[in-house]
Parts: sequence; structure tokens; C-alpha cells
Amino acid sequence: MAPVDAVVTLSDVAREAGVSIATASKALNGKDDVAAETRRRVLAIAEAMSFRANPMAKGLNTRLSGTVGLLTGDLEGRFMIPILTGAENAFVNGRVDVFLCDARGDAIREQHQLRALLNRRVDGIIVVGASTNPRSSLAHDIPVPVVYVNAPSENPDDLSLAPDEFMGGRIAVEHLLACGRTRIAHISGDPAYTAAHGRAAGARAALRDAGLDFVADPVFSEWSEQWGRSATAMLLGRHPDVDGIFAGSDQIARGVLDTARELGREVPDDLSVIGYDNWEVIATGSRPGLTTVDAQLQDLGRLAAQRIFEGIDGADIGAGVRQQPVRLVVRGSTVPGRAPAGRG
Amino acid sequence: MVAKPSTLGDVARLAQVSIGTASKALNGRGSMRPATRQRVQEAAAALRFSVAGPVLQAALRPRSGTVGLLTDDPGGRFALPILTGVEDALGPDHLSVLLCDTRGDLAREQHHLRALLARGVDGLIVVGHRGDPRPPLATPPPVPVVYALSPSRDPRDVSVAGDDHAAGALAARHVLALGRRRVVIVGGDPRYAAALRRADGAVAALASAGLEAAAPPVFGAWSEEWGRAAVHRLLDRGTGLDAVLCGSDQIARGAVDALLARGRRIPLDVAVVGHDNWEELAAHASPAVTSVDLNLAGIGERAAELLTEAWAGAGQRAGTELVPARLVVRATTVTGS
Repeated sequence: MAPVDAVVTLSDVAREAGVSIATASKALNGKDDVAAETRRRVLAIAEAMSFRANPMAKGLNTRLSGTVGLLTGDLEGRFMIPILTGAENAFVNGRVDVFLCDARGDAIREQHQLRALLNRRVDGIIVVGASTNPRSSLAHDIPVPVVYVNAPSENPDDLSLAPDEFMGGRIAVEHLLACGRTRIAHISGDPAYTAAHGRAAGARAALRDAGLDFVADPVFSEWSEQWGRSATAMLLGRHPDVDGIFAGSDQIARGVLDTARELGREVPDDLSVIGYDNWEVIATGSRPGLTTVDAQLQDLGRLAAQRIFEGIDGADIGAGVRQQPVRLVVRGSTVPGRAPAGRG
Repeated sequence: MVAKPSTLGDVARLAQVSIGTASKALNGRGSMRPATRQRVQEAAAALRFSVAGPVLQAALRPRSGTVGLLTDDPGGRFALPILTGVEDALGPDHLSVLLCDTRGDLAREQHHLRALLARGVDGLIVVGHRGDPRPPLATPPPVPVVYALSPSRDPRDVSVAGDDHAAGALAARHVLALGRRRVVIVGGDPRYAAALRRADGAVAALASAGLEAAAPPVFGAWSEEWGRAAVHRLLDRGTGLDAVLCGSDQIARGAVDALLARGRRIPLDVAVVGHDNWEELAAHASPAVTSVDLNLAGIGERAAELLTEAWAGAGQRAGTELVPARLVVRATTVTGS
């Protein structure tokens, strides 16, 4: 029982012609970079199938349901769950079924899962990574639209949506500056991660704009509480005048809070601490609650699903890596004089 | 002349049911009136229809190579490890699992169920997040179903769940083995049966050792905040305690925080046990939290095995199977772990 939709879609044409949906779209839209023979074949098939493109691509709200496959390398769910939720919420008037497949970061497994999703005739595929480190493209000639979320594809022809890490680092430090902090340090995670460098670069840019620099060179090790604890002990030992710490993740920030408390530094009155991720479980459980940066992953998921359905309707969904805005979430660990009284 | 062997269709016609019903009846799966099932079985016997015959085998063998997993687990906290267990048991080369999030909404559940069936899944695993029994799927599906974590209220359904009572007892016996005698229980959200069962299990284990809890078990929320508040309150009241059994790892972290703030040494003065074995929270805390692992992957594996048995034509075992938990010892109970 296929989805109730008698209209021929671009995806159907692409499949028949044995080309990717991007190629089919370009052929039908008269774009240059399509081989002549391919263009002829696609046009002939479209004609034979009575395909009618929707040039306005305004069918989004009228499409009552569809199915999107979500292929994830993040089985912890921390990134995948909000992205999945956002994709499911993409349509006001109906529902998007999201079929989740887990690839566990294994390329062969991922290909197998891709086949399984295509055999299930999903309308599009969202590929989710557990980090923002770039990854190889899934395949050529996939007959449905594909959007990469969080971890961008290395192929510039693919569309990728990633949270703007540079902006994240910037707004984190701007917030510390707004709290009146000027002696700021940065403790971050695994330097093999794009996220670590992006956030640090944004942080440094914000300091430079204020005529400042880090009190000490940012240190990178791992995304863990333990590292946050150790690094803070070392930092405050050498630079007791530090009044603001930007931790590369909420887990690191928890470690920072622990050491700060042990050393008798009052957070936030004496020392402001900001994390990154807005991982609710970690960020809300501490006392004080962690101020942090939210990557707005739900929005990324919703945007990805929208792009997929625009792609199915024949619109050119674009290509390349699109950085999406992140936002600050203020809790009790940064603004001095705001902390509730009470035991820690 | 040799008579043609009877087909499933013949049996169905004789029993006056659909082929799907006949198949289910002979498989012992699905829910139907006992009288109907019996009628089909008698028809099969009368026609000398063989259950192990190739036709039925072919009808039952997974066709699409896909299993659908329906879950209402909001953070994927339970569904994802169960998914991993299911996949591992089914084997990566043959079957893949499609997960759909119902968000605890019946209409969504129906919708996702239809979508999964439309895409040709061979079996379904319905995963809850509360451990509380749940109603069976509103429409019995035409493929085998196993309920995981939250057992179906219908005893004819096949369910696999954790043993919360035994898990609570496990935590209690651990601290008793360490010589603790003034044990308190800080439970989670009392609207969850799991919270109450874990506490009951702990109390029962203490009773077996001739002990009572040092204070009546208290319940609140699955949060660090609650763990902190509960411990402060107990200490404010002057409760002597040398072990705290917590309903979850988050509660345990809060309890540890409060105990350290009140100058208690862990585990020397007070041992603390969490629950769930949520690695990110328990293993990376300082001190790392001893916890009870629910063996979610094991629950997933068992659910997958039960599906496989159904596909192979074995009668499905109705009722709830319990998968035991195991203790993961860390620094909040034993130094140097």
C-alpha cells in the first residue's frame, strides 16, 4: 500500500531514469551541467510519466504525510533525537513518519541501511552525525533528496545543515563579557573535533573585538567531566584571577563547577561558567544550573525535512554547507548576583 | 492417484476463517477466541495439513527483512539501547530495524503502525519507557508483536521486561554485603511502577537480612534536584545513615552532592547506589556511581529472539518474560573500583 498520491513525483522520474534527484531536477530545470543524453532521457521519461513539476514548491502544507528515513551515527540519541523530533514536526497539517535506521558509524552498515530505507520507498533521507566533523557522501545517484545534518558531507554538491560553531563560541564569550568578566579562559574537548576549533575560534574573535585575549591558551583534551575538573584545577592554580570560564561542552562545564566549588570559588558571583550543548540532563541537574549554548537541533531537523519535500516537488534545494544559528540559554552559572541562596 | 497436499487455503475455508487467521491460529500467535483457534487446528488435523510444511514456512519467513520498533520513549534513553540489542540479535546482514516515535499518543501510534505495516515490516517490537504495563496495540497487527520494557496488559501477548523488584533487591544486597546496616531509599517518581517496585525489592532484601530501612522510603522525581533535597532532609532530621539506595543515577548524583556538601566521605561514611547505569552520568561522575544495569540490550535481544521464533512457526509464549539486571560496581560503594 504505497502512500496515497497518484501524482508522479520527481523522485519517480529520477528512479526511472536511473539518476539522482538532483540530476533530474537540473535536467528538467534546464541547468547546464547535465550531459545531453541524460537530459534527453530524463525529459522523455518525465513526458511519458506525465510529470508536472511544482515550480512554486508551495505544496508543503498540502502534503499530508510522507516518510523520511533518518540514518544516524549517533545512537546515544543526544543529537539524533531532537533532529528526529524536528523532522517529524515539519508539517503543521499532517505528519511526517520518520523511519530511524542506525548506522553506528560503520560505512558498510550505513550502505546496507541506506538500501533498506530506499527499498521502503522513503521520500527522502536525513543523515545525522554524532559530531560536526565532516563525513564522506553517502552515495551518488540516490533517487531521493538527501540532507546531511550536524555532520556535513564532504561533497559540495550535497546539502548539509550544521550548527554554527563559530557563532556559538562568539555568543558564549560575549555573554561572559556582558556579565562583566574580562579574565576569561577556555577549556575544551578533543582537538580532533571540528567543534572544538570552531567554538574556540569564535570565542577568540569575540575577545579580540573587545580588545582582549584569553588569560591563558585554550586547552583541549576530551569531552568529559574529569577533564573539566583537572583542567580547572590547573588553570585556577596558575591563574587565580580568572573570572570567566567557557567550557567546550556541558560535561566539561560540570567538571569546572565541581573544582570551582572545591576551591571555594562561588559560581556565579565570583566566577562565571558557561558550557555548550544545552544537554538538558547535564545542564539542568547542577546547582547552579548551567548557562550554555543550544545548537537548535530541532530546527535543523525541521529544516532538513522541509528541504526534502521541496526537493521532491522539483525545487532546487541547493548544495553546500549551510551554517544555522545557535542560541544562548541562560541559567544560574553566569550572571553574578542572580544565584538563589541555598546549599550546594 | 496421489491426493494433492492440503493448503493453508483449504484449512482456512474449512474453518471458515481468513488465511491470515488460519496462519496465526496454527502458529499460536495473535489474539483470537480459543474456540476459533481450536476450530482451525481441528480443520488442519482433518485435512492432515502439516504446520511444518513448506507453504506455511514460506508464508512466515520474513519477507522484507525489516522489523518495526514503536516507542514512546521521549529521549530514546531506553529505546535506543533496546534497538541495538534487537539489531545485534537479528544480525546486521539480514534485518534492519525502523524506529518510530509515538510520543505516547495513541493516534500517532496508530499512524506509525500503519506506516510501518505499509512498508512491509515482518514483525513489531513495541517499546515503552515506564516499565508500567500498557494496553495492547489497538489493532492487532498481521505480523508477530513483542512488547519490550512495558509489558502488554493482555496476558496473551508476548512481553519482555526488566525485573524491577529483583533489581532493587540487588542494590540492597550489595550494600548489605559491604556491612551497611542503616540503609535509606530515595526513590524516583512514584507514578512509575518501576519506582515503587525497586523500593519494594530493596525493602524485601533488607527484611531478609532481618533489617528495616533506617527511614521510610521517600519518592519524588527522577532528578538530581530531588536526590539533593531528599538527602538534606534526611540529614536535617538526624537520620543516621550509611547507605543510600537511589531510584536512578540522576538521583544518586544529587545524593552524592548533598552528602559531600555535608562533609560525609563516600563510600567510607556513606555508600551510594544509583539505578539505570546511564554511562554518561554514572561512570563520569566523581566519585563514579555504582549502579544497576537494566540490561536493555538483553531485553532487545530477547524480543528479537521471540520474533524469530514466531517467524519459524513456533508457538509464541504468551506472558511476560523478565530479564535480570546486573550490578556495576564503581567508586560510590567500593573505593578503587
